[in-house]
Amino acid sequence: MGLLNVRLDKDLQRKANALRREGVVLSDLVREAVTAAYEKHRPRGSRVETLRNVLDRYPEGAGHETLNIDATDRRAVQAHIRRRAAGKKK
Amino acid sequence: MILLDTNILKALVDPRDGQAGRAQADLEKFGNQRLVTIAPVLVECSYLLPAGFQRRRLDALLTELPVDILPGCETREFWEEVIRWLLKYESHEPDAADASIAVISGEHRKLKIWTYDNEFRTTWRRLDGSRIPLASE
Repeated sequence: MGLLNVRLDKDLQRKANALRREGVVLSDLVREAVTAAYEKHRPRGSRVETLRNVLDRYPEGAGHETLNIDATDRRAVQAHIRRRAAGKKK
Repeated sequence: MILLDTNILKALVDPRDGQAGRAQADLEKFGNQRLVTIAPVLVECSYLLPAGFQRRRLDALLTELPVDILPGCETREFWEEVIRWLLKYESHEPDAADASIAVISGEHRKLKIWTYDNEFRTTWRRLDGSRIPLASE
């Protein structure tokens, strides 16, 4: 987890102290502000473009065999996880 | 706010997945609505996306789409609800990720679940018996 140090001038310090006295948690306030600002400023290209970018950036390894599992089939997924978990214990 | 299930993340990461085309079309359709997921879904993904390039793709998508991780799945109270839900549907032998999604849906009433798992339409309900809202009907 990262840490953010922020310098406050006297006026902001006074306001921060007043907020603290009101029970506002300043670290929560900063997290909320960063989340809101990120949403506002992040690149607005289409998400499908972003997806295609990511798929191109990390190409499939040579000889990779894709898992032939229908991920909407709960029983198939459970069986696969059981097999993998059992394999790890050996 | 839309919560991505395991089958969606797998379909987005793996273009050879049978649901990949549908997932990409839905991703476009949902526009800029906030996307989230939960830790139990990511645990399932770790089993279904074992190759390094798949994990890098998943990590990049979580950051760049972005898909936020909803907090709250780490508490004792949450797991008590998950276990209650698992016992309620015991005869169906459900898994913890589905249970977690059903419980979190009960806590975030406006949350829509993005999944292609038909049991969310036909069988699973919240603990109070109400329907789980889905993003892709």
